[in-house]
Amino acid sequence: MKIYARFYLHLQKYAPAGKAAEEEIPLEIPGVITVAGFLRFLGISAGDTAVLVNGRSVEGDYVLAEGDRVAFLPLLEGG
Amino acid sequence: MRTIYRLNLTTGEATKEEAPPRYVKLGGRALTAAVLLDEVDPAAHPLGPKNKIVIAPGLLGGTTVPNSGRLSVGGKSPLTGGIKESNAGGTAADRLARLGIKALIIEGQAPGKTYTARVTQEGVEFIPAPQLAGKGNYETAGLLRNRYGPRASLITVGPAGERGYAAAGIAVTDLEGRPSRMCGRGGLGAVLGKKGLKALVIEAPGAPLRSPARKDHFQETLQKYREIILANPATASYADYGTAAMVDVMNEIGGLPTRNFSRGRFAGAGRINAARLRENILSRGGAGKPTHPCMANCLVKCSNVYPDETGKELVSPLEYETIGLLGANLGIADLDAIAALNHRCNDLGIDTIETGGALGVAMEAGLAPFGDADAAFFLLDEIAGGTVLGRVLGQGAMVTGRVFGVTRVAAVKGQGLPAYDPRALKGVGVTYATSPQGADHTAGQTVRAKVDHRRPEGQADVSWNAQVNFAVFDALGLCMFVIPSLVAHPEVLADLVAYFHGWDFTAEDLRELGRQVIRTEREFNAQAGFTRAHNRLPEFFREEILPDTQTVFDVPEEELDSLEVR
Repeated sequence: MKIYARFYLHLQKYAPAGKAAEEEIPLEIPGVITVAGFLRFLGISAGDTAVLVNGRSVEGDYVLAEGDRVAFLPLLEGG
Repeated sequence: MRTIYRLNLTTGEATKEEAPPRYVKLGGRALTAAVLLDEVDPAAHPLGPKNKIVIAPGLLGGTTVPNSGRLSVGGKSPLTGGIKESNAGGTAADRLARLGIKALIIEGQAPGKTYTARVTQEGVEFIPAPQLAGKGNYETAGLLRNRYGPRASLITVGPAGERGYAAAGIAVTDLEGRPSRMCGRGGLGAVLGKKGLKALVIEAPGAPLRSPARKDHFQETLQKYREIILANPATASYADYGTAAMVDVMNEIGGLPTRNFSRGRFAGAGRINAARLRENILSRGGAGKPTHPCMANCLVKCSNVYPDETGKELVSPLEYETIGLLGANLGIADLDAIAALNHRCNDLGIDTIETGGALGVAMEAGLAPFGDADAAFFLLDEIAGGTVLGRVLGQGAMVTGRVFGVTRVAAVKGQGLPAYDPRALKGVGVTYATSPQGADHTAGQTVRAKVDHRRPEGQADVSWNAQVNFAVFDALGLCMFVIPSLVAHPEVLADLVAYFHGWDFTAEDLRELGRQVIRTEREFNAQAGFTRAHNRLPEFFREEILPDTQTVFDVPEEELDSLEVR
């Protein structure tokens, strides 16, 4: 299954090596994985990260599907 | 801290009084709201002598509590016709609180005159200042610093306020003396400007920090408070990227206002986001700072100093709302241009959110093409020059839409929307619709809430919770960027208040304080003639599908109305 990931700001450090900032990165995922599982796999702490799938905020139990666009962003507010 | 000074521009007198008992447990927005309801006729003309400006530090202002230096400014808004509070960081709240001042109440009017008011340990005096009339905020601040010294804290209005523009804000100086911490929203700069009070100069040399009533308990709680904030990863992110991090967040969500709220994603977002902002600041060096405190004793440091290509300061700070409204909303994908527009707005003393909204409407009307930064500067020149077009724009997005026959005008209760499209972020949409403050993200932000922002379900509850929380922080004088850390620890906040003041004060008292703020503001608005019909978003948000999310704003009206009885 292929998904497309973007890692913003300080989360870029979790992107595969050699990938440019904010680049959409195609990732091959073996089998079924939830957002929470994907975060664990990448080593990202769930508490401080907003995960948007196709622009929507999702819970950790959301199961990723073929072609999903997943964005990882810091969880902040504007001002 | 019981002193209230009454500054009457009609009589030219400043008098000192003791705060009545009912005000003792109120501060910041809670106090400005109470004074306005008690003293201002809700039918008064906002720009007339019967309106008042109330300036108040929060309940924790002037203390060792980090991030407690927000200054609340309240009045009847010329933009909404209702009650308004707009707050800013900077140096003034801390100084006022150290001087033992609970509030300044500015009343009356001196038509055609220009005064400054000097606030010191000895009292308050008016000083005629005709030489400052019509001057921009930066020049005004420079002249006042020359006269009163670099440590004087200043509260100023620019020419936009003096002219009575409903988009005019009030500037507060930061730690380096820049008049750039804006109480931007609601047009309160016009109220102060029309009173004839160009500036307040606050001098508190040697005034000590306020002492807690129960020192040991207070210190212990303060330590917890600091640890909670520093342990939150959001705190470090604010220091690294500032609020500009929201450009990517909102663009991903599909709610970044673009080309007058016609789209929620901006093709140029990657050129105006936090990564580009930080890269420009770091690579250009010079005066640039990627992180910067707006007030003393700040743990967050979300501010910045943005330099031009030669390293010379262009503006400080450059923040998300401004990037959203003067950038994406105008189709401008150039941080340098946005920074320069921001500086110009600060100098005029005009709110960047309202101005970006008005310019977006003007561009939709065909007055200038989207994406044309030169045209945006031209429109700001019109505002500065006081031409008929400039005066229209200076009244904000709503008036601009009426004059030019534009139906897509993003405003509630006459106040332009901040940089979150309510079709993509529906909890904030509920806040925009129902807050007594008009469309205001600082009245109840929900972007961090664990909900699907595109669904209508549950948004009324999420918004109400945020509205109460934000009112609490506004009453305490705390920065909203410690909310993500402290919201889960209301008992720590309540203990801080209890131990500092020596009161019995629980987390429930804290929440009740927040509810009380909103009830007081609603009561003022009800007396001013506001009804349910004013608690609605503009029609186009329900009718026009936002292409980037394929959603409309569809929180049922009954749910909006359900907030009335809470």
